[in-house]
Amino acid sequence: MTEKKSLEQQASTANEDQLASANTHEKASDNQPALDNEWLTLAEDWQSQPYDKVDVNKLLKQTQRRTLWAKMLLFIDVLSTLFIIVFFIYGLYKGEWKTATLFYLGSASIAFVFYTAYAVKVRVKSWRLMAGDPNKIVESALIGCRSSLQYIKLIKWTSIPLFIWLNSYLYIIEPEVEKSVWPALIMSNGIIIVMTIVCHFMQRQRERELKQLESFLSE
Amino acid sequence: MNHQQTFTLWLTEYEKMLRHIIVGFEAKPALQDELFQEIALNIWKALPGFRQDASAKTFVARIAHNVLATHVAKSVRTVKADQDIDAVCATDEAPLSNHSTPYQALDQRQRQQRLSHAIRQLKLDQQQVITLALEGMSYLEIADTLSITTNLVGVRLQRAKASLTELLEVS
Repeated sequence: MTEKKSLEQQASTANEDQLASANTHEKASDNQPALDNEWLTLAEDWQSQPYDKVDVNKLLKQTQRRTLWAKMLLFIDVLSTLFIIVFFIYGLYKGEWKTATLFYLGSASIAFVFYTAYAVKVRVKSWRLMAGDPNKIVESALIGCRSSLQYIKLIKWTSIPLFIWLNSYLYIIEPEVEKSVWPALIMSNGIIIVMTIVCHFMQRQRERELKQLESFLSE
Repeated sequence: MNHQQTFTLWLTEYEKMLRHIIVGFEAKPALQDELFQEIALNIWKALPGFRQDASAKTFVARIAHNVLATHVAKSVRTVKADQDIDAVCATDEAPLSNHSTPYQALDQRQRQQRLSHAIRQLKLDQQQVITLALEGMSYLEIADTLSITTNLVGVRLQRAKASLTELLEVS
């Protein structure tokens, strides 16, 4: 089936090229479609279409902000990892914190280092491939879509160990703390659930886009 | 001139062309604005790689066409092609008296709507050549923008015109 499609495509391209060479010797007035008589009207209509003029300076700021925001998410990941590590070292240095807290902070530091390293690898690799070549915008969109999908999956699947880690930590420290852990439990689990649901829908959207882009490029 | 100045200059100079090309691919105003911003973002990203010997107009048009090709690839074509058909058909009911074709009988705004709707129904390669040709670009400029030969531009343009003739009922 694919072979047949490929052969049909080759035949179509060959026909187009043959037609193109034949047209080299064809005069402009020969065999013109009726539209040529109306072409001037069409071009005038087309070029006089009204449009809302954009504020270019505002657009420039928006564009700069968009390129910055794309990197902001990764920056937040790096910053969070550094914060957890510093917090853990501070706890160790102070020596007053409970063993459970130190254990969970330590394990979180290690997990975050791996998570951030993978996230940086995925995103930076795609940004390098997506260099601003105007001829490769469709391919760049495909790379961007794949990278974005990988990143979304990473965040989505990270929510499972995060869920276990957070709840077990709260369960262990619960007898030792004076305040109720319920508000923290509800809030943190709520954030994890919302994060997972959002990621799931974004994943479905990206998968749909990826499928359409791939079928477009294979046409 | 730095990147910011070049970006501002290009966007000011070619905004009209970009807006028109977008209309040939997308009917919804909200998506048209989104596509314009997407094109602007890609121009911004591609600016460092621009060689001064190339034409800025074809460079900008090439970026626009590649962004729009991606947009076409992402959208469901059957829905896109039909989405504004009702709105356009409603404006098409104009009297034929004193005019040789139904297209000529329409006023300019109606003709513009009908033209952009007809272009959106063409195949992608035909949409690309016809929008650039209507902008007044030469075969060479179109070939440069779409990275194809001038002969192929001729072939595609003839086919696009033939399809457009049928869609617009100008003959």
